[in-house]
Amino acid sequence: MKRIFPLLLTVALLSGCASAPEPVLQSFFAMDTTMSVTAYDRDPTEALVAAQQAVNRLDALWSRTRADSDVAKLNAAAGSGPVAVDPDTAALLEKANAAALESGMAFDPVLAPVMDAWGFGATESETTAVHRVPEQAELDALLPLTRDLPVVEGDTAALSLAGQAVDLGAIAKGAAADYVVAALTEHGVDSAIIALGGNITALGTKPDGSPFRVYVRDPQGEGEDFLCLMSLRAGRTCSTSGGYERYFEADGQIYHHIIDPADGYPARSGLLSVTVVAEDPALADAWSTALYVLGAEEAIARWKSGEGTVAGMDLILVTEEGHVYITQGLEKGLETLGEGAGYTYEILRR
Amino acid sequence: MRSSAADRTRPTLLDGLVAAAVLAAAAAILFAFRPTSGNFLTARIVLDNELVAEVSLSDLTGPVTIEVPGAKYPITLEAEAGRIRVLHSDCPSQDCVHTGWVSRSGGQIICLPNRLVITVTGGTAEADAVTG
Repeated sequence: MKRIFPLLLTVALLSGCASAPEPVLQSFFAMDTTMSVTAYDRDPTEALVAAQQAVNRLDALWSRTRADSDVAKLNAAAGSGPVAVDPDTAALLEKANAAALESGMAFDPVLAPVMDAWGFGATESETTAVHRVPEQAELDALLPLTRDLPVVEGDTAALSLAGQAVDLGAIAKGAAADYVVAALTEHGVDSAIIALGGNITALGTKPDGSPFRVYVRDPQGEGEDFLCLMSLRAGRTCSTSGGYERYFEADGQIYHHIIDPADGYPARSGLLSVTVVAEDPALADAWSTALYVLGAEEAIARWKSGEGTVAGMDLILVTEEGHVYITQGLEKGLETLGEGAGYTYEILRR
Repeated sequence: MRSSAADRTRPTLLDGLVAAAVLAAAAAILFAFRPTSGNFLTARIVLDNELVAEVSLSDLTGPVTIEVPGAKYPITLEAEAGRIRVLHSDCPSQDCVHTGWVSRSGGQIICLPNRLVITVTGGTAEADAVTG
């Protein structure tokens, strides 16, 4: 026994080394944004390649600007009947339609003609986009093209009016997280944090079993000004929408990119940002936009009602007055950081 | 087969030396593989999916400027002890410049038009990601 003691000691020390490897971070560009995956538990190189391939496949299906994508084909055929689409595209369109209907069209996947009028359209052009304030008459002519949701039947989809266009920009990056998680887990990675253009997904926990920690950006601050630090439980995704992310200035006024489908103008709901934490990453993405449009009162009412999709999520709502509503599910592990910048915090309970 | 050591009831000096050697080797391995995230902040500069430079922010004693070779829109970075920023960029969006200084582990500066990502790693990470 005494002879094998040194051996046991060596094994124990070596396994001590192996149990805490450096996290490996890889970033890549897709869907016109940066995506990064940080894997904590093993060499993730192969898994990351698979994850990147999964996102590239989705980008090829869901991009508006690639002529051969499902979305481009659907838009090109608007008003002239159904087109065949990939089952993954059909599933995402149905999910988008459901969110649109449940939100009372605060989230609208066929808002593209109005978004384009503002220069917030097809994401590929964002770096070269020409932003402008459209005339009311122009918006009046475009608004009838919105709200008529795509009709999905089996693996076909159709837009009923010529000139209509689908843009999945407010849901596709969230949806992609599911596929990234699948690619990583298939390759044996079960501890990773996935950031797809601001949507953060926790695959498992940190190797020590504690939840991943995520900063929420201060919508009025700069680089490293944060509103709070929160725990993101295993399997959850958080997604944030705020007017501060993309905007332009014209005639001394700020116009941001979250357009209210009701009137075609940037939403003025009294919110600076909305963070949604949910199990379904696509829904986190879509509902952060929808709740930003709906405003704090409606968001809180839906959460407190205990019914519907929003009731199953956790929310952080930041009002223009600097009041921050945080639902009770996020309280554990929450660290507020914005008191110095004038923010006040309130935990919502039901 | 019997070995002489199996007959002994007490550890010998040699046993002690072997144990000490193993302990020393284990300590050396532990030291060699010690987590670098203890103190050292590093900025990784990735252009179009390729690592172009790694800057050890903790080792800097004064400000340095870095031109990123091969960038589509000329871009200049400034790094000093413990932090980094985009000093100037010819890109149309200027988001990278507006991000300002990044000094925390996990912090990122992104210049989408240039497909440039600067990631700060190491140090004592308080968070694993940023949303918003």
